[in-house]
Amino acid sequence: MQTDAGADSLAIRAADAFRAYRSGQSAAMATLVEDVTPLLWHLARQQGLSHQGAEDVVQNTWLKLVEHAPSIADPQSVLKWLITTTKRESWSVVARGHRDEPSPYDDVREQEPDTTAPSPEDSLLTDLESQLVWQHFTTLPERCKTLLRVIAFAEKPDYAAIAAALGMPVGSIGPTRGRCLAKLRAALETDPHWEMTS
Amino acid sequence: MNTTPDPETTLAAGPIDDVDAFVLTQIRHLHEVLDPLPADLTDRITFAMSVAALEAEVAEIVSSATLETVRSTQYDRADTVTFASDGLSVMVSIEPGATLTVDIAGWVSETDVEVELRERGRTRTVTTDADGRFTFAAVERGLVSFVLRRRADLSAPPIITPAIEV
Repeated sequence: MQTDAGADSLAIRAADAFRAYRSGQSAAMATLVEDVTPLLWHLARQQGLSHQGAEDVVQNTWLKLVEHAPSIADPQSVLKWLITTTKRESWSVVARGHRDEPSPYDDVREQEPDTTAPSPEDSLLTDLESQLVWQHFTTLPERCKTLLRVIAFAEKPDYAAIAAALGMPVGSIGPTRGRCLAKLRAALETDPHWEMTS
Repeated sequence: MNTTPDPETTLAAGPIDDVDAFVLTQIRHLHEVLDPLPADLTDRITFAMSVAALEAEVAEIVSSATLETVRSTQYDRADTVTFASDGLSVMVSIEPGATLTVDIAGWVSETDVEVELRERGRTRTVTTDADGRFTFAAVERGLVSFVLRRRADLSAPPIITPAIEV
C-alpha cells in the first residue's frame, strides 16, 4: 500500500513513478506497472477482448510508453495517456477481430471458449449486496459499464479525468454522481432487496 | 405545477456519497474475483519493458538445477541457473540467506563485465573480478533479472536475463 502524499490519487501516483522512471530510476517502472495495469486490464476486457487479446493490448500499451516516454510532455498526464492508448488499441483489435470472423465452415469446437464478460458463479456472490450490485451493473448501458468498471480501479479524485480520457462528456462522473452511477443507484434503490441508505 | 425531475436526474446531480463508494468497491471486488488479472502479467510486462528500454539481447536459460524443487521443499542447498547469449554465459547460484533474503554468487565466461541486478524495488551494479566472479548479498526474495554489459564495448546492446525467482 502506498502511504505517500499522492496515495489518494492514482494519477498522481502514476505521475510520480513516471517522473522517477524518466529520471533514470528504472525500478520505478515496476511500481507504475503494478499500480495501473489492473485498470488497463479491466478497460481492455470491457471492450470485449479475449484474455489473450487483453494481455497483448495491455502489454503493447506499456511498450508504447517506453517508446514514447521522452515525448510525453507532462508526466501528470501519463495515466490519461495509458487509458487512451489502451482504449484505442482495444478498438483496433476488436475491429480486426470482426474482419477475421471465422467462416461458417470453421469448426466451432476449435474456437476459443473464452467469454468476454465475466460470468459469476453463484458461490462467488455470497452476500446479497454483491448479488444486487452485480445484477443491476450488468443491465447498465455498455458505456456506463465501461466507465464504472474502470473508475472502480482508481480513486475518487481521478474520476472526472478518467471519464474524459474514455471520451465521456464532462460531468459523466465526479464531483457529482453523473448519469451512470445515478442509473445504478436508482436501480438499486427501487430494488426491494436493497437495504442500504445514505 | 412544476414537474418534479425524475429520481435519476436528481441522483445524477448529487455528490458521490458513502453508498456510491461502497457500490464502486463492490464493482471492483466483483471484477477482481470474476475476471482477475493473469497472475504474472505485471512481471511479464515489466520484463518486456526492460528489454525494450535497454534494446537488450535476451539471454536464454540453458540449465536450471533444482530451481523448481527447492521452492516446494526445504532443502538447504543452492539453486544454479545458467544463461547464455551472444557467446557469453553467466551462471548464478542462489544461496538461502536470512529468511527473507538470499545471497547470489555468479560467474561470467568473460571478465570486465558489468552486472546489474534488478530486484523489485531497486537495482544495483557490480563489476566482475579478474576471474569473472560477482556476488550480491541480501537479495530480497522474489523475481530478479540481470543486465550484463561488456565494459570494453558499452555502446553494444546489453544482455538481459529472463526473470528468475529467488
